[in-house]
Amino acid sequence: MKNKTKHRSLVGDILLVHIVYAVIVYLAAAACLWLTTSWIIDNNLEKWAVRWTQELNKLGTPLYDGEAKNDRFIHIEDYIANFPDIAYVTYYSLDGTPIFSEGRADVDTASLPPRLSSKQMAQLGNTTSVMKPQIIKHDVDNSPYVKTYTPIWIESIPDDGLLNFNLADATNDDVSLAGFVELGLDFTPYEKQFIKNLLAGSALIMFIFMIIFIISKTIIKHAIRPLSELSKPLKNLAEGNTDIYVPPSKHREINSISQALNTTISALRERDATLLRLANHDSLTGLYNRNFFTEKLEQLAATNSTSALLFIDLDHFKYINDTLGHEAGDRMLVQAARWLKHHLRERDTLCRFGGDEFTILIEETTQEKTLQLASNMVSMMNKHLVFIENNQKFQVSCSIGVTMIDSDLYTPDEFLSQADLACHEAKRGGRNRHYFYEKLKNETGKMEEDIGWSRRIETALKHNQFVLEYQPIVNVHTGNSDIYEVLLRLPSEGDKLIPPSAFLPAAQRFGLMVDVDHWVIEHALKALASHRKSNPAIKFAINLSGHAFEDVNLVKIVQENIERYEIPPESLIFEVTEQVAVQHIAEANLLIKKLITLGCEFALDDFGSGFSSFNYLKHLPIHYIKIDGNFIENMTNDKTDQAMVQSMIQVAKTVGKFTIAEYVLDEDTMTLLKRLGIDYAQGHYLGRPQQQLA
Amino acid sequence: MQKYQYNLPASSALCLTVFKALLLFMVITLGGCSMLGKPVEPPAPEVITIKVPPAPVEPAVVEPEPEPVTKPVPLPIPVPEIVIEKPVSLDVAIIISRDIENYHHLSNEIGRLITLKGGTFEPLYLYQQGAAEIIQQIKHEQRQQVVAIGLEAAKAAKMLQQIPVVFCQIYNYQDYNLVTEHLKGVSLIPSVDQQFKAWKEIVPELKQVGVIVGDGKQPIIEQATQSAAAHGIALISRAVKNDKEMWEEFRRLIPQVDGFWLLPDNRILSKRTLRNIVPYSVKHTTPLFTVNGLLLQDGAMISAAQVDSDIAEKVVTRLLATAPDNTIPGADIVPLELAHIIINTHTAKRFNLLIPNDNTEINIERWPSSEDSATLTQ
Repeated sequence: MKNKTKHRSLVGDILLVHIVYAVIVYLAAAACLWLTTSWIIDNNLEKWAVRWTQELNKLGTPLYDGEAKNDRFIHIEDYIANFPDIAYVTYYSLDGTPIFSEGRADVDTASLPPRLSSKQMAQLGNTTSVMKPQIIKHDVDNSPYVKTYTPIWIESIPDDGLLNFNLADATNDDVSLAGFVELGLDFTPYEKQFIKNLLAGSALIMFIFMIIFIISKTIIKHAIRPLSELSKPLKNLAEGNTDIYVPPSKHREINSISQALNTTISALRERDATLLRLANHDSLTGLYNRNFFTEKLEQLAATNSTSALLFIDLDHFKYINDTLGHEAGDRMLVQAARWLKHHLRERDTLCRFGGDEFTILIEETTQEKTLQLASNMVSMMNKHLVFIENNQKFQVSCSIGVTMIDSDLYTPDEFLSQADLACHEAKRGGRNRHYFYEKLKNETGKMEEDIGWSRRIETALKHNQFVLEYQPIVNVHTGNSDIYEVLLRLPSEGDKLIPPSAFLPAAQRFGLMVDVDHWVIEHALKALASHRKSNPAIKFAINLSGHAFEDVNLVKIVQENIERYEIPPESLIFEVTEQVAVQHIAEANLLIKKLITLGCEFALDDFGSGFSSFNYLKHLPIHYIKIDGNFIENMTNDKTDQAMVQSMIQVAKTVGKFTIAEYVLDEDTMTLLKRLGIDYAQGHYLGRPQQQLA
Repeated sequence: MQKYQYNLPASSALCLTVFKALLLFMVITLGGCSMLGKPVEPPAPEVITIKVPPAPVEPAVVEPEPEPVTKPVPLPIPVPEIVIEKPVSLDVAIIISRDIENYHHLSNEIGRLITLKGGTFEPLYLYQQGAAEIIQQIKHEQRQQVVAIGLEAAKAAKMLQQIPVVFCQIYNYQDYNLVTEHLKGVSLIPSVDQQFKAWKEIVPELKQVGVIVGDGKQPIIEQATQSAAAHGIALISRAVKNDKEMWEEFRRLIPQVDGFWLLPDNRILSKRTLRNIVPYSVKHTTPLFTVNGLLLQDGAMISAAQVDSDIAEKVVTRLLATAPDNTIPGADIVPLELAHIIINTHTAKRFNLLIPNDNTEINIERWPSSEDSATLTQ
């Protein structure tokens, strides 16, 4: 949907602020001007009124002598003619009768409104101040004039003491009231002139504002143009394009923004590069990782060029890892990676595929050159690559499987499987050698079989064709069988069930193990929820593959299914083989802790098969150890196995772990295990795997 | 400033000489006529004094001053004609209008003179007792004569129908119809002749003097004009109604005159007007001649104050001249013959005037100090 919102102009907003500010300032100034001018006019005119009144008071005093003095009238006329502000002047007798009135030519003194009331007359007569106007009336009786009234006093020195009065003496003279004088003042010309000037000034200011407005608009537009021009690089940046550069601006503020944007873009570029490197590279060795390699392989497979794929597995790496520890194993991997990279061309793609496995893509090569390269690598590594740890020297060798990418008959996964199979063949042939896939004619059928397995697994996952069987794990002390190990089966023709050892290797090679783990978890928990209705104490032990440690969604899926089927987490025991756990010890530790945090329990399967099994008991927070069946099945006849089992039970008890013995095939074995102190037992003697619980 | 040090034009000098000759002729003629008439009170001695004249002052009627006139009077001053038919015993009630120091001094002086004449007197204070009570008391005590000092006293004494009353210290007596056959007065104005003489002595170039009066004072102005002319002074008079007109007229008059005579007409004077007039005269270098000595401190040039003994003598003389029918003969008002002249040395110095030496015909007191006058007397 197109956004039809009309965006406001920044220029308009800035100008609007300026206009509002200017108008406010103008109004305030006009108001102050009005008030000040009015005050000045009123004040000045009031002072002038006092002066006028004083003069008219003197000029008019003879009017009260009872003699007609025409020259006095002329004096009054002449005087008020000098001041157009004086509209008229009227003299009153003591009883308020007008005795003389004179005014401007435009003022009809005969039609003036009523004059002072008797009360006001009395008020004026009682005043002692002589010269100051006593009553000022503004717009009373709708008169346009401001009127002042002043009493006319006549002062005289007292009769007695004529020759000895002192001017400094504050004693008042005799005072007699003669009458009153009214002064009509017309201030309207001032007000009209002021309003006229104000309007003219306002028009001028408006015109100036208009000019300033136009100039300001142009200036602001010009000023923020660099800001507008930033939109283009920002738009490119928003689209993910970091290959942009914002040119500097001559404006300091915008230049700061440009520099900040360039800095941000550089940071984003570096972050993208870092993310890309992290996504495509192995964090330990710095080589390309499996994802990048798979993409590269797909690209190469799509071309018509001839390339080669080498699958390298370090010989005896597990021994180094077990005996010297994982840190030593990691250092060996790093050293091997450097050695391999050093002996390859720049254009060749070297990748750490997983664990101690490396893959190499040799582009535009021939079979002969590739085989020569593989041969040289095997011989030179064995000859020159020495790993030194704790003053011990270890000669490093490798097994290499080689296949040529020169046909469009195979998919990239199939090329990878070819190299993997060739590598396994090289190991099976005694290690420290290479094998070329084309020479493995007898194995053609096996690869096709693997491909068949992968398709069957995918179909089984898609259509839920897998079957779960449950084998009881009996509590030796109570005889109860509340724990069942969940076992995966693939149905085949004739209702036969295929054990996982037949199809899981293919699933691992074709990257299907994660999906298999998810399917088993979901369906096992669903079944557990169903069975818990009849037996709430029941627990399921579910096997996890080595790929579970790389599965970031595993814990989330477990939690979702626990909540979905309302299963207490403590009724779930996850099993992982000791071999897999040791290969991914750090990831295993993390995954086990996360599942325990949910409330689940953990069991270490095939315990004792490794070189340093006891060592891991200290590091892995497991609840159960499941003793490798190879020690159990012949222990009644083999004292060594018996001693091994006994020692494993004792160590487990020491560190607070429960022990489970599998492969219990007869009563003697069971009896012996009881005597050794085993906690749980599992085997055909105690119960075979069945689709239904016993 | 050389305002008063200019020479007269030749025509003006000639006119002045002719005028003086005519004036001398008139004086001789009038003097001769007076010698032919009834015995009259000799004119007041021509002693020009500043201080209070030394007591006792001999009663003019009983023992007229035998000393000859030292200088001819330039203008005949009306002198009351008193016919002595029988001795008059003085039993006088002196009514005092207000509690004014000058009134008390004058009362004492009159009383002293009455005592010297063998009479008795009793001062009565109008401001304390009230008019009705005083009238009642005078009638009850059967006082033979009354002296009224001040207007209010005279207005009260007017109620005494048949008792002779002489009033003094009143300027506008005609406004209140105070003069009757039994009620006569003594002038408030010190001797105008002495005043004009002093002005001329101090300001020789004085030619024209302005004066403003209220209603009813035209006779006095006419007499004064004649007296001033004898001293070569032309009196320019104006009449106004009130203090505002006074100030307005004063400003108009000042540019036309060499000096201004400030008569004590209270109807047209107010303190407010005087506070304008006095500095205005100083500002325009026009000497102000006044009868109020206190105005000197505000800038008046010359003051001519009354002499109490002069007044007392005139009052007692009029009392002694009372007729058997208790009427008082003679003019309504008898003039004073003395004047106490004081010059403001500050103002004189400001006007660049030379103060006459002490050995001049007129005794002129200097104010405020003799040191200043010494510097001025060159």
